[in-house]
Formats: sequence, structure tokens, C-alpha cells
Amino acid sequence: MKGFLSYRFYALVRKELQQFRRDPMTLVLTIVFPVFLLLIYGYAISTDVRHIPLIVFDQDRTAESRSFARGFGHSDYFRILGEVQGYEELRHSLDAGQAKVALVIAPGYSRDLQLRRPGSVQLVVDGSDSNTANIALSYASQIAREYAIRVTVAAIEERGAIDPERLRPIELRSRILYNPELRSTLFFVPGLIGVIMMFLTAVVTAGVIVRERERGTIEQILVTPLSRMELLLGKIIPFSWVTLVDVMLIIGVGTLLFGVPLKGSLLGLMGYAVLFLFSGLGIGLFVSTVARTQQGAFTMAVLVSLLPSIYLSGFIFPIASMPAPLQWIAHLSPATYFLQILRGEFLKGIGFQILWPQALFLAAFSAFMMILNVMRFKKYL
Amino acid sequence: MWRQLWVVTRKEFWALRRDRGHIILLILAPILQLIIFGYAATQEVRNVEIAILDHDGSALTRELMQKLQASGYFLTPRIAADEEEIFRLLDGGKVQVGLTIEMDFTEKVQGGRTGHVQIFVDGSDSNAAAIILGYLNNITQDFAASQLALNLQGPLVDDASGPPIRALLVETRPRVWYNPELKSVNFMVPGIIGAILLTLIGDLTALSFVKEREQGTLEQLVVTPLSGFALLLGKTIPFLLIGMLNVLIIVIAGWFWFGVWFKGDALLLVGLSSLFVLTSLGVGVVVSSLARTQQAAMVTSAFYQLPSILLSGFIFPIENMPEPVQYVTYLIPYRYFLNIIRGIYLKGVGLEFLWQDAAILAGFGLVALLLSGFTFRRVLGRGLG
Repeated sequence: MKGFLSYRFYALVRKELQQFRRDPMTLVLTIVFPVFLLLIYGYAISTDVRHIPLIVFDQDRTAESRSFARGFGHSDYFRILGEVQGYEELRHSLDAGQAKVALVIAPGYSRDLQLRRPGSVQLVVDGSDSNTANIALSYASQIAREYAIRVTVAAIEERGAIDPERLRPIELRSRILYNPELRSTLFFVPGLIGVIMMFLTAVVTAGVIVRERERGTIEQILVTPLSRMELLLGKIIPFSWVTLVDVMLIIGVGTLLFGVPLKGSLLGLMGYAVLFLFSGLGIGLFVSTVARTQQGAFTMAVLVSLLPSIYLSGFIFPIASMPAPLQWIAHLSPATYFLQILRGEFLKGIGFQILWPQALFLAAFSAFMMILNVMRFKKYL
Repeated sequence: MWRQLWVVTRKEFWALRRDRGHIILLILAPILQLIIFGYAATQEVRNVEIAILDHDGSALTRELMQKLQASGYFLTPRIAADEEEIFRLLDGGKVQVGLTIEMDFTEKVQGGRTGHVQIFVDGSDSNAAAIILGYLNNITQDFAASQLALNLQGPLVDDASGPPIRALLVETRPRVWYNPELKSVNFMVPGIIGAILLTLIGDLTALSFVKEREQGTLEQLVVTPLSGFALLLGKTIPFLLIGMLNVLIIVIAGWFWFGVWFKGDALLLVGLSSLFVLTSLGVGVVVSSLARTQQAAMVTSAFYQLPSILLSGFIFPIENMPEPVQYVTYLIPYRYFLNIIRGIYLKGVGLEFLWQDAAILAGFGLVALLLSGFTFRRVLGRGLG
């Protein structure tokens, strides 16, 4: 470590920075790309299922059946496309993907209600998209329940006045913490910092050393008096700067443009980000010592770092719903812990006394990768 | 001409073979994607961690707890000592819901008044929060209805004027078509085929040209008597084959592992897939004409691939997007291919439903082909010979 602050070291960093300047496209893309992703996740994507297209097949054709169907139209969850006159038409509409749900009211529905037998309606759901279908079923049963309660209450009131409180034995009061309006933007934007950092550190860095080797320039560096540690850090530092600039950029755009609150401290957040930066760089460098070509390095980096950090970290899909083996993998990935830190800092405003286990994992992971890489470098060079 | 093609294809296979690790990865890639998207990509909310603070502690509240447990959505609840603990558990992410029951809950409910249940939901995951709220709503409403039925027993309701009133007068009987068990893997498998054709083929094509240029071997190729056409096609054939191999792996693994098999016509599936592959290849060539380094090529193609994945409906339904964005999605070829491949896989529909999507996809393919023809001159630095 003695030559750590040497002139040679700075020369290497300068060389890497020059590489950036010679290829301005990479630099532009690493700045434009995060903003681009931010716009997509912040603005375009929403996981709220609303306005599900619905068709009605009303075989009863009475005031009651119409009022039941209207209940679906009034809710924000469904959008009534129109009525169909038969099963043939119903099937066609679902086959063509125009409607996702069909509400079928059997003949005799209103007669059943008058006889105080349960009226029965059928819900035909396009199950292709199981997520939407599940949510649609849940919404539909909520609407039917509310309607049923209204009908029941009306039937009871018909037989005599009754204290309305007796008709509501239980009331559920709910309070939503951290994201009271349930905006999916608040869910995605903090997590995006982790995804973009992982992309820039692991995937882009992975190519760096492989590129030197592919071009045969790595021998030239090796004959210089630089130590391995200096070489590693010299490769890493320029990318780290770009990555941290990106983090600031996302925080700025996210808070100003999308109104994502930063309830925790900015300084603390940057501290965790540096820890995560080293984890990501560790993965990227490891990949670059394994892969032989840049193509191979990219494929591997995407598979081992990017896919898990997008799909297994809880960024989009809840970890608790995954099968156990995938949950174990998720808990080996630094992205999972950084995501908990990000949401904690942004939305909950919790501090180190709660987040220290996550920070500890990131630190341990970075240290482990660094040692591993230095060892591999010895053999590999 | 065919000989030329064969020469280039063989050369490209040799280049691939030199990097064995990469070949293994290319075969592992679809399997990994299948596992991730087959198992993890579900927005169903299960195993919800819940903390309960029961001030009442009666048989009735225990019954309500049992109803929560029996729903199958919640894990065994943690018992909190006070409200502060509930907030601490929520802050630390240990639970997603805290539920408190007031002191005189049972007395109120059985005395014909309204008992209150207060819940605190972690809203950071907005989608999960909405679903959890729905679960709790349905469970408490059902519980309330059974209590109501108990409370109302007696002369008031069961009088001679009619049959007894049931608390729930409307039954919904759901029937799910195309994917009756509502398994998300059925929905994802056809999408993964599209995603592989989109990303893998585009990336490999772009990288292979940029690599030749980076290493200076493209000039060597240009001075050979190979025609531009043979060069373009010859270099892409190996990737087409790898792409097709990947599709085969997904189809077979999806069948054996997840039991997903396509209902529609296999020939139609292959034919329309190749239409889609044209676009991916075209984009790959265009990217290779723009990027100078392989890193830049990766990032450039991500500008095409990410919106394709995110805005096509592969993961997030298009209906939920804001209207202007919904118009943007019409420009994404993958959107049409998703309709086609899901239609064939899940619904078993044929061209009579899919011809529009197929025609648009063919249009995109043609445009991509023309564009790549033009830009390929730039890649080579000479006209198409």
C-alpha cells in the first residue's frame, strides 16, 4: 500500500478518465440513461390495477340486476365496455382480449333476491395475466359484498326500524404509513438508485479489464511499477465518480420532479451508497477476472448481478411471496439490503440504529469481494 | 453466394467456440430467466407478516385471529405489547401490517354497537399494501356478516312474513379462463421467449460487429471478396440458431418443469417468431453502426430493450399506464409479439385473431431490415457489394 498516493497512481486514474473522454458516448449514456429509466419507472409504470375492461351479460334484465351491474361501473376498478347478448359474443370478446372480465347475471336473479335466496352472479375472468386476474377477483368480491350488505340492510329495514349501528358490528379503520396515497412512484424511484448503481458498477465495469485483455494492453500496464491494489483502484475510481454523480442526479430528479420525499438524511444515504458501490464494483471486477471476452463478461454480469437485483431484491416483486430457495438467493444479494436501506431512508426516515444490519452486510460483502478479487488477480494476471 | 455465407457462419462459430464459458452462459441464460420469472415474478401477496395488539383478548377476538390465519395470506402473527412496538416493527420492516383491537370490542359487538379494528399498513410497496387492505377488508366483512346474522336472530328477522334473511344475498362464482389455476408462470413463459428473442439476439448481433471493429478485424473482412449480404447474414446466423435453441430450451423446460404447453399451432408460433426476430436483428445492426465500443453498444441497445420490456405489458399491464404512455406502447414491436405469443400459448387462438398483430410486426420487420441495410454500409464503410 506504500505507493498508494503516488504519482503513478494518479497517472492511471488520468488514463482511465481519458478513456472516457475519447469515448464521450459512454459518458453521455451513463448520465442520460439513468434519467431515461427514471422517467419510465417514475411516470409510465404503475402497478395499480384500475379500469379493468368489463362486459356485462345480463340475462335477468330487471332493475335489480341493472343496479348490481352499475355498482361495477361506479367503482374505479372496472370500466364497463358494454353489454353482450350471448355466450358466443362473450367468448369472442375475451378471446380477442377486448374485455378481461365478464359479469354474467343469471335469469331469475331478482326473483331469488325477492325470495331472500342468495342471488347468484358469475364472473368470467381472463386468467392469462394472473396478477391482474387475482386483483380483479378480489375487487369484484368486494363490490359484491358491499352490494350484498346494502341489500341485506334494506331487507331488514323493510321489516321495521332498527338502530343502524346494529347493522355494522365491526368497522375496520385503516391508516397507511410511509406512502399514504399508495403511489407506485414512491415505491419504484428509491429502488431505482440501486438498480442503476448495479448496472453501472457491475455490468459496465465488468467490461473494463476484459477490454484491456482483449486488446492486449493489459501487459503494458503490468510492466509498469504499479501495485495490484493501485491497479484495481485505478480502474475503479473513474466509474465510482460517474456512479455517485448518477446517484445525486436520481435523488435530485426523484425528489423535485416526482415528489419522492427524502425523510432520512442525504449524508447518511450517500454513505450507504458508497458501501453499495464497493459491493457492485466487487461483482463487476470478479466477473471481469472470470470472463474471457467482453461479450461473455456482459452476459455473466447481467445474469449474476442485474437480474437478481431487479427481480429478486424486492424492487418489483415481494420477496416474501417467493419460494424459499429464491428467498435465500435474494438474501445473498447486496441489492436486497441496499433496497431496504433506500426505502428506509427515503420513505420511512429511519436511521442507522435500525439499518445497521443491512449496512454491516454491505460492508462485509465488499470486503469479501475485494479480498477475493486481489487473490484472483494474482493468479489471473 | 451460399458458399460465402457458409464461410462467414463457420468463422463466427469458431469465434464463439473460443469462449466456452460464454456458450455455457448462453444456454444457462434462458433457464435462469425461466426460474426467476417463473417463480419470483408474481405480484401475489402471500406470507404477510402481521403484528397484533389485542387489548380485548376475548374468545371473539381469538376467533377473528383464527379467521386471519385461516385465510392463508398471513404468517403466524407477532403479539405486540403496545402500540409503540407495532410502529417499531413497521419501521424496521419486520411486519407489513399492525392490527389493534380496542378494549371493549366484544362488549360492543355483542351489545349491538360497532366495534373497531384499527390497522396500520406499510404503504412503501403500494401494490402489496392495496392487496393486503383488500384481504383484511374481505376477512373483517365476512366476520362482521356472521356476527350480524347472530345478532339479528330472533323475532325481528325470523318472523312469519318470509324466509330468514341471509347476511350475504349475492354470491359471486368466479370462473377463470385460459389459466384456471391463475399461475403466473403460465403468463410469464411465453413472455420470456419474446424477451430472449428481443435481448439476446439484438445484443449478440450488435456486439459481434462492434467487436470486429474494435479489434480492427472488420477491415480484414471488408477487403475479402465477401458480399455485404453474405457478411451480414453469415454473422447473424449463429445468433439466430442460438436464439432458436434458447426458445426450444424454454418451451421444453416450461413444459417439463412448469407444465406449460402451447395450445395453438407450433408452425404459426415459429413463423411469427421469425418475424419478430427480424426486428431484433435490425436493431442490433443499427446499434452496431452507432456504438464505437462494446460498452457503448450495450448501453445503446438498452435504450431499445428496456422500454420494450417495461412498456410492452411483459411485466406491467399496459392498461395501468397513463394514457400518453399507452400511445407510446404502440411503437413497441414486442407489444404485438406478446399478444401473438400469449394468444397462441394460453388461448390457442389462430391467425383469425392475430392477423392484425402479425401484419404490424411484419411492417416493423421490413422497416428494421431496410434500416439495417442502410446503416450496414456505414458499419462496413462501403456500399453493399
